[in-house]
Amino acid sequence: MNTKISGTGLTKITDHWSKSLIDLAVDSAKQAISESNSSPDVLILGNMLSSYSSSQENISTIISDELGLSGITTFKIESSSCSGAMAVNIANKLLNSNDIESILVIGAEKMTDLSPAETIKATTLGESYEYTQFFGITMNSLYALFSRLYMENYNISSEELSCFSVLSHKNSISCKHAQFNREFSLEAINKSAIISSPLSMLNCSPIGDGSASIMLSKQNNSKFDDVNILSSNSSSSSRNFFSRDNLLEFSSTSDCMNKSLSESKIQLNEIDLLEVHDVVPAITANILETLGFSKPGSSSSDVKSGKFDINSKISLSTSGGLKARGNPLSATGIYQIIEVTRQLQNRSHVNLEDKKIGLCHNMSGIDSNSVIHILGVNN
Amino acid sequence: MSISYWRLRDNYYRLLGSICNSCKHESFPKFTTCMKCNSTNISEKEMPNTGKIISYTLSYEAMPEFENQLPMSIGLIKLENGVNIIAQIVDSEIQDIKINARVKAVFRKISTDGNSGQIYYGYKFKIIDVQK
Repeated sequence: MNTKISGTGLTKITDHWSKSLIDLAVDSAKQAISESNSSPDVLILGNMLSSYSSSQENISTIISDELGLSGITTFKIESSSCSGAMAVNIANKLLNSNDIESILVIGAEKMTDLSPAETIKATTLGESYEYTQFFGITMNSLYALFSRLYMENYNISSEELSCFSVLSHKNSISCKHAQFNREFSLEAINKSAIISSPLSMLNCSPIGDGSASIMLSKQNNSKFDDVNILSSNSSSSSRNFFSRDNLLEFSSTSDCMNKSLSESKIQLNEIDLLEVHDVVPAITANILETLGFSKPGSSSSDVKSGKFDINSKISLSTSGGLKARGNPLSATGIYQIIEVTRQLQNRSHVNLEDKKIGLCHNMSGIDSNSVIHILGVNN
Repeated sequence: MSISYWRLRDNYYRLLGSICNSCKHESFPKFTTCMKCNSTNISEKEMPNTGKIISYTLSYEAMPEFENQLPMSIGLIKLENGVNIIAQIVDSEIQDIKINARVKAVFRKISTDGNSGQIYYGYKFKIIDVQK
């Protein structure tokens, strides 16, 4: 594999009242193109909600036109909340299979143009319409049902699991593009209003608009160190998590991780930076355990012991993850890749020593589809 | 949504799922390919209407047309044949909604298209045996 991340760009994740989905996408894309000192041959947009929140399809064509790139091949990839990482996965395959030199991948999501009830529906659109949305069952309720299964199985309380949110908020304090730049105590998180029991508001990832873009190229013309994609994989599982034999088994994540380790020839203990789909604590815990970074049921005690702290050997969600950096659905996977890239190039919001390899895990639903990228730096 | 509702009426009214004729695996919703053995030799089958709660939540957020049902109790239910289903829990005391409580399917109004639109019906579950 010979793909390099040659440019990055992003917007702050927040309520961008004055900017449309297209404005946000163009903003991050321009930064990525300018950083790369090159022009893309292909533009791939990862997006989930354009038809629902902005009444617009064929949107990648509009964005390429706005960027002055008319004439290039462009299309949109949709796979719910992992659309961004999936777009990178497809771009990487394309780059490695023909004479294309560089691809611009944009992840963009506009979530705050909708009413509160519509926003809740929007976050649930990736789940079965016929057997979930029809009955008014929301994404956070599904996360809550999963959380209770996890808590019962390992005899862990929701209060204990809140340590994941404490860590995320601590890491995002100095990250300018994060939605939240403040800490929350364990007590404050546990006292916050219940969204869907046992999940409290400060344990759920927030709603925000954002866009992140990267340039993938065979050659790196930017002024920064070469960051290479060492592996890029995706895998799917049964669409309804409640239909699975073992309700705690994340088979798409585990399958994807096996493929990633074998493709990259990287050992688990070589990974220094970790971005996972930390949408609510029990999901984060189950992902870390599935990926092999913690033993089953022990990731929350690992977090408490400092194993995943920002200054430890393996740093988790260094810009706050989905909880504190924010979760503009399809853009999230690209924000993860940019965070790892900039950390590896020593130009993120905190300078961490000796980080060489990073892993990004992005997924849709409750492990219905997942994508893993392993990145490494040459410096 | 009225056409898709009409198409699914048997699934919503009678818990119509499927059984694999090769390995006897049952599923709800129905599948065209067996999740266990990949066979496509599938027949329709009604699911049992009783089961027990294996996880639950009380939700304080709603999608459009569900705002007046808050807070909403939702259960993950294991039916007698081992098939899992997610549904609203109604006609039950909140403190009785817990793991292993026995439940039974009931026919209820799900939502309406605004004030003058179509009314949609389907399954919800109620507690029939409180777990002490």
